[in-house]
Amino acid sequence: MSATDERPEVSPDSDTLLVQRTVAGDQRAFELLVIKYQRRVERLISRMVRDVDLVPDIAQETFIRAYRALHQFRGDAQFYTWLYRIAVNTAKKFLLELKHDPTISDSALASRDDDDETFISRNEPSTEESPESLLAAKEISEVINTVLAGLPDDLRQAITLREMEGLSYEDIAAIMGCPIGTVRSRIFRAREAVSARVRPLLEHQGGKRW
Amino acid sequence: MSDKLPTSAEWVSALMDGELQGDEFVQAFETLCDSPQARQDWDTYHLVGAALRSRSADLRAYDPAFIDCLRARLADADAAPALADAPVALPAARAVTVVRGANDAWWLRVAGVASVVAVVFGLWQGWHSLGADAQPKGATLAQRAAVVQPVASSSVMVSQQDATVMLRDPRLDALLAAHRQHGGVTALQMPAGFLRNATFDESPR
Repeated sequence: MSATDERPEVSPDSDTLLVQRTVAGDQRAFELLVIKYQRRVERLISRMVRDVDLVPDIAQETFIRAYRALHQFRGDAQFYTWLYRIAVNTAKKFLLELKHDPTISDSALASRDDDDETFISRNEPSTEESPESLLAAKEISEVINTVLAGLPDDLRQAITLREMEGLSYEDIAAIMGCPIGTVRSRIFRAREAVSARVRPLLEHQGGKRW
Repeated sequence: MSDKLPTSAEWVSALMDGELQGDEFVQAFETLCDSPQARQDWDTYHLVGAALRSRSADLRAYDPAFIDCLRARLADADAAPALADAPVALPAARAVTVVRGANDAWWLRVAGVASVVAVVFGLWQGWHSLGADAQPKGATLAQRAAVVQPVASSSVMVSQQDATVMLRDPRLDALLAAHRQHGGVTALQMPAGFLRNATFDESPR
């Protein structure tokens, strides 16, 4: 988009700002990053390690390593890219240690020794995804899409441009011909409309409650 | 609506999009940290976004217990040894190097041990060939590779400290003796043609 090309500089995204705040000494900022990326990290690890009981431990170790190394994150790449590498290496290290532990059964290890990302990137269902969780995820996804389809056009367009196209508020405002404040409001209202329908479903997920 | 003061949820929405800077960011951040509802919104809004972007997104609420456990471990981690053998530095090229290092370290160790074994073995064989008796202490690299084969009365000693492998099997000695006329006898009592390919008689590879 031309608006994007003409923008002189890119403001730091929320991840970078939270990293900066964490490095400055506010651990609460790091916890927000953990909330944001816990699912993705665990999903990534579950594709490498068959034993689902190990996934939370490896995820914890991943975030601890990331926390300890945050001062070295320069923001040259996306934060999740950096976190992704830490998660992969942490899982590899775990697998390596498990292989040398005779008390650990082979069933705890991944089914392949390949450690390349092509294996990790496969969209293979992990043992963590029980039929119930798959059904719940499908239900949530359907509700989200149903609510999205029922939104007013301006709200649906705003949230679609933001979430699916990754455009900034400034770019969305240029596309929709409205002030940035209006864009912010529309995106919020769309999110809130969807979230209001999703929250009851999340509360009934497998014992996980807020 | 844009003229009104934003609610905490709207702060969360704007903050997660990276659209808040300076004082607005600080205010939204403090609201987010102080309000459990705001943290829930933070999680739910991200979940909604993930669902819109991918059909295979993980659609589970975040686990507060995970955060509590992590908080406790971080509090204990201050005195723990550094964990930074993981890739921590950017740019991407360096990160890739660290990933390779995670693999190469293992193979480097294996290669190092193999090199030491080869050198020590060669020196040992050379010392024996100078004046020691031609005792059937036969171990070559080929034999060591075959050490996994079930040999009933063999004794195998592997020491990583002196990198010496000795394999002795009376049945093997008998076999070698029976075929000695075909290959000639060496100090190691192995087929000479094969042995020369495996010993240090040849120029270093």
